[in-house]
Amino acid sequence: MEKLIKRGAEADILLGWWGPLRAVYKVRRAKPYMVTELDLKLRKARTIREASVMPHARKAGANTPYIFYVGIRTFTIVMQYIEGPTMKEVLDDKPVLAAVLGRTLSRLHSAGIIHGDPNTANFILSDANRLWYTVDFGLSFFSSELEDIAVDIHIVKEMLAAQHKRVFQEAFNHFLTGYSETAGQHGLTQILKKLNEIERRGRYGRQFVD
Amino acid sequence: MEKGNLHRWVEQLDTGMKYKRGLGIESTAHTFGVSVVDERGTILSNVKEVYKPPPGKGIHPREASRHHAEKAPKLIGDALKAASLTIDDMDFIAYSAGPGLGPCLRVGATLARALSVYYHKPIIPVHHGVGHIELGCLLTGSSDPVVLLLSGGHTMILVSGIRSWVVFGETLDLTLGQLIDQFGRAIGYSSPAGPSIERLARDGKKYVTLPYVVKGNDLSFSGMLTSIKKELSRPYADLAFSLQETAFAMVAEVSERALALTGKRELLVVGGVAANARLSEMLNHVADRQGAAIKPIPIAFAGDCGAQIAWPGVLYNKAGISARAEDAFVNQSWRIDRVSVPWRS
Repeated sequence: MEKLIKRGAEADILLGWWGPLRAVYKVRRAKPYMVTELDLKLRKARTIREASVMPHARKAGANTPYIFYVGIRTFTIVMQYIEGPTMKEVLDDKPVLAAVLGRTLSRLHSAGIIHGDPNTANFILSDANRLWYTVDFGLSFFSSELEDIAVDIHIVKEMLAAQHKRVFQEAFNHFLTGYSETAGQHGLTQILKKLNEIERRGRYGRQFVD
Repeated sequence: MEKGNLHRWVEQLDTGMKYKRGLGIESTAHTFGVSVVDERGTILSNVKEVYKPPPGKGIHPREASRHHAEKAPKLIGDALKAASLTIDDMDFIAYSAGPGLGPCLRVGATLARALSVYYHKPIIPVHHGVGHIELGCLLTGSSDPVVLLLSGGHTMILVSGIRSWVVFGETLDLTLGQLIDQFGRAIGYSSPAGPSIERLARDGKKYVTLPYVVKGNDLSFSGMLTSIKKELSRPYADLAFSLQETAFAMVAEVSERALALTGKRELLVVGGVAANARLSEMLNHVADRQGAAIKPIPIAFAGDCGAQIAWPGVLYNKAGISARAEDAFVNQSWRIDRVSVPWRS
């Protein structure tokens, strides 16, 4: 039987089997507080999106779990189970790991994939082969727009500041170093310029970019 | 001697000490509020007057500031009288220094500076959003919550950082309050339009699809405003219903993400929009699903009020922080994550 291992905001993560293989069942359950039309639309769109982007992400050079089965009507994706710690658990002790995040994200971006939720909880170090895996593509989409890329980076920055506050500056620098390895210094500069613009937007735009 | 005063006097005699207390002046937007709070967190008085723009209009900063300037002297007197104290009993004067509408902010700041200089009281500039949060923590007894700050100018999720509040997620363009007000204005309501839209939405039946934009922990509402303005031929009740359902679901989702990712066990909802019943219902579900306790703030203190300025004033005063009168400015676009909050670690 499948066992619930995590209840995210968006989906339940269950651990079970797919034939002889350990498998993760990602089930997007109905949210009772949402109006039905919206709930169905979101769950369907995100299930399809996640399943269709993952193979492309792998081709782009980010390790992703193999998908075994997609249930559009049950809003379920069954995929390979990656066992190991998430980056969220280890980054505070080893901020240099943010470079992995940077490298992975820039590979995705240069292949026209926006992750949409580049959270350290979505990067897992596999115990089996010591490779970093990227998961949770529910908010991802295809785009090569500088705006979309910069928002992805903004999310990383905000996330590091809020969830890894003690190592924020160091981790973000490692992230940028890792990112520039694929994107190049010029590419990074362009993106940071756009990031600055985005952060100044909105009601009380940031006055300075640290 | 009035009863309240005698009671307090006896109480002080009992403990052999005088509780420090101060005056807080709130004047960021449509509300001018004055309050006296003591260091135990007792709100000794809290009075306010709200400027109401004409139907279909937003707040005109000049008109609002004129309203504030007219009401201010009486409100300050009322607040002191209700607390049975005089200005000499105050240990500090706190005022809302931002963010907000310049002319409105300056009414409060000017008064605060005058009182501070004339009566030799320390002056303390307070961030409006920090005020909402800290008053929320005081009234609900939250210690380390995920904060959902939904005032007119803020749509943010925050967690405590190192001597500051850190933004976990926020809107990239319009705030939820602006979205509601601007839609309200388009169909003839004055700002703040929240209560009218909420009533209207109860009669909505048909869900109109609107853009649902969540990016990581961030939100975007500008697309929703554009597309709802193109649908104005539909019944307004359906539109109000659809706007609430879509926008609140987005807020609920990012709140749930924040709870799931931080593992915190309290969800504190503050700011004027917190008074919306449909939003509270959704957030209750969210907190339930994540095993967290939702901390509703008493309705009287959800909107803008003087107490949200006086209480942080107490906290700053305890930490020995005040400004020089000549530096006690206002900052219309003061970001909350740049505010020093020494009592948070």
